[in-house]
Amino acid sequence: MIIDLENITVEFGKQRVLDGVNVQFDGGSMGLLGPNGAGKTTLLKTLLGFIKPLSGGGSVLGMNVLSQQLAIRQKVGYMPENDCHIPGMNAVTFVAYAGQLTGMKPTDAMRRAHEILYYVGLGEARYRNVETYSTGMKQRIKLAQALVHDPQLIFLDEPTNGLDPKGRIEMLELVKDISTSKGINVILSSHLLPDVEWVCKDALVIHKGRRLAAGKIDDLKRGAGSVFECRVKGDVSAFRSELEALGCQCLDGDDGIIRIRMKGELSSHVLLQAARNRKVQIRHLLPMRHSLEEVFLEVIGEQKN
Amino acid sequence: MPIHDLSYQHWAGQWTSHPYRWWVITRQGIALLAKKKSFLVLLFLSLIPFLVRCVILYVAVVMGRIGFMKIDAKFFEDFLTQQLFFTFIISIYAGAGLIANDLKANALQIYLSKAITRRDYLIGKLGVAVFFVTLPTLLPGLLLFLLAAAFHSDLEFLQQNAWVVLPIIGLSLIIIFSNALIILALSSLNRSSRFAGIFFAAVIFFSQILESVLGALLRTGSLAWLAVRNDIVQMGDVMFGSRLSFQVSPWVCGLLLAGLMLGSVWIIHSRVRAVEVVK
Repeated sequence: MIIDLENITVEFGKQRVLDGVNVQFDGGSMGLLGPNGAGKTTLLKTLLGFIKPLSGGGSVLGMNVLSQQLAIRQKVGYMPENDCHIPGMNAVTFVAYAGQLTGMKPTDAMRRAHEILYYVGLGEARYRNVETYSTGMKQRIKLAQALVHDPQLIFLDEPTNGLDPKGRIEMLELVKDISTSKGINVILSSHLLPDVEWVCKDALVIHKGRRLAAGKIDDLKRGAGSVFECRVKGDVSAFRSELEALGCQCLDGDDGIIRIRMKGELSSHVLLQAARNRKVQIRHLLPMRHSLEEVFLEVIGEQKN
Repeated sequence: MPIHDLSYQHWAGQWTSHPYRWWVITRQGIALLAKKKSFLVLLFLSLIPFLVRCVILYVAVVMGRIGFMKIDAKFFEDFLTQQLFFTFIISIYAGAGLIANDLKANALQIYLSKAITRRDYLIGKLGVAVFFVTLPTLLPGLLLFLLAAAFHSDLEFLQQNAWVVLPIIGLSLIIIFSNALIILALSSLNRSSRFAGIFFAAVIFFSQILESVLGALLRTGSLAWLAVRNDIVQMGDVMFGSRLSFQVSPWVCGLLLAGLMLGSVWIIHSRVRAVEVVK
């Protein structure tokens, strides 16, 4: 288990920022989803040992989050959300310095800094002062300083913030490459659902400091039960009432289409059986896939209710 | 033939040991400041009194003009108190931006997301200020003493003045740490290095002006402790066994300096955090 957190609660003064959050991450890439202020950054900072939780605990890469913070930070890379750099340095010095701070020898750190800057696409600009970089370049240099010591796990906090569409795609491709080809586990915190969907296989949805949903993105999209789009000819109300009697939800859509959410494990066979029982003709039947956005809005909506 | 991926290689080198991680910060800070020509000029200017005193030593001891200047404890004490002006200027130049610039660039979260502690960071930054204030004080102070011992052909000078090494080190350390800690504390209070510099000047120079004005108005010398410089000079007098410069108990001066340094440590410790919590 790469991350195993149990019942993490964090308070800032009287405000509860994380409320009994559990996180289990087996490796690969996980998206940390939630609107602004949901507690995503606080969770990352708790994992890094910046914040001591009020209660709860757990491990990152098998090391205790409460007592082995330095050891964790040696194996973990962190790309902060906001614009940050160490002033007065060019890119290669900055990244090498970041490596030395983690514990690399100066010669190793310098060699590695050159490699990493080429990898993130800043090879040609590596002798320029970081303060003169554009927003896109600053995002890349933040990624480079997080990768320089070859971490086993990397936390990316809103890595596409402020990027133009082309820069955003390049950054996401880079992150995807890190997680799929380079064997580095990635936690991507974002409020942009397409970013998470592009890069990650797992997702954890946080809202108001609470864990609302977690799991494989494909499973989350599938939802609690299968959803079908269906159009029938015949006694529609009788067909609907038979399905509703079985616990399924039927919602009216456009052009006479009914959106049917099956209860639990019920499959399309139940639907066909209901049609046969009520002697209606099924003219259109399509299994639906949720977008992550729908899942997200759904769980947030459930929370509000 | 396999195609090797040259884009990203895993690293399997040796880690350095953690206890010296602060040295990375100190070394980098020194290297960055050493690149500034104006700062190097300032450092050179601060060594002029040392060079002048070397000449005086040569004239007084080697050329035998003993009456030219007496080479005793007071000679070394005067050198260190003379250097106070340069230490203030160097502290502002080297120390004002040490933490303020990091706050401005949000660099703390980069530092503290690495395998270093808050203490490593603070010691590393303090190391930069200490290094540069040592250059015009402790280092030339000890060199001056060694030179004086070398210029004397017999051991009489050493036998009579060996104890002076201790006050040279003691007074230098007071100068070094009072300056370094105060400027670092002021640097941690704001994102502007300019603010830290102005505030430091206010603490050092304006406290002296205030003491002079109040002393003149009230016709008393007992307020000398108000000026940080006077406190340091008074401590120097005690250490070198000279006549006290001010009509103030050295205890008061010592306590004030200790309070300033401890207060600075407290400010630095409470201001430097990876997470800024707004309650």
